[in-house]
Amino acid sequence: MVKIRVKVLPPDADNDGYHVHLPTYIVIAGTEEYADAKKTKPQSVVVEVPDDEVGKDGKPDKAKIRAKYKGQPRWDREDILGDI
Amino acid sequence: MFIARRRDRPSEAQVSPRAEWYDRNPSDQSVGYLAVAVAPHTTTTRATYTVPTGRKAFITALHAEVYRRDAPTTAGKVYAQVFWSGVVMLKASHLNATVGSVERSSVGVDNALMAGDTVFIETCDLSTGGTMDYQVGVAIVEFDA
Repeated sequence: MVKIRVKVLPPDADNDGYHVHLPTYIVIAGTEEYADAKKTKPQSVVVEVPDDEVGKDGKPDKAKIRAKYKGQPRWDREDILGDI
Repeated sequence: MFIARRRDRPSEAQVSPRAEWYDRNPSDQSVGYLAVAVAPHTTTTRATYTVPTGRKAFITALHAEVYRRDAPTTAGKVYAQVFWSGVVMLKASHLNATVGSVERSSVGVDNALMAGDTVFIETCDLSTGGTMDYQVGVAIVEFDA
């Protein structure tokens, strides 16, 4: 597993809560950074992601993710990591 | 000497050349969330697992625990839950301002997950003030489809 800081997204049509736009991840508790002083809007967080989804630069790798989840509409697409 | 009865011996048609699931490149993909003194928050996803293409998985056990660490001004509903493709599989709900109060939920299962299926852990605390501890785990074994 590789630890990286990623953007936290607000609820949307596919997620009823704040979430990270990656297929597989585990949030590291206590690493949240917030957009407001009251700490109600998480902005970024450190997550662990599988080794085989990360590139040499230590960031999520689009080609690897598309290959691992090939044929799955949500992840096998050109714009999957647009909002990471 | 043991002599197998005829009905105990599988015919050729019954013997599959395919290995059992636990012999098809199995790997542990368990996910979880362990946190202490977490302030109130809206619904937040803490972990997600998606079954890769060409693989399947079994969920073998689920556990969720929510523990009141610091008293709130006003207690609200607190929960930790595990979703599987949009359905709540396990939930520990808590509504108690007393420090030390706890709710636990555990189950052993053998749900089969197909490629593209998703499991995720969510927490939520609608209290005003106070903090909670969370411990949620999903044991997952992944293997070749």
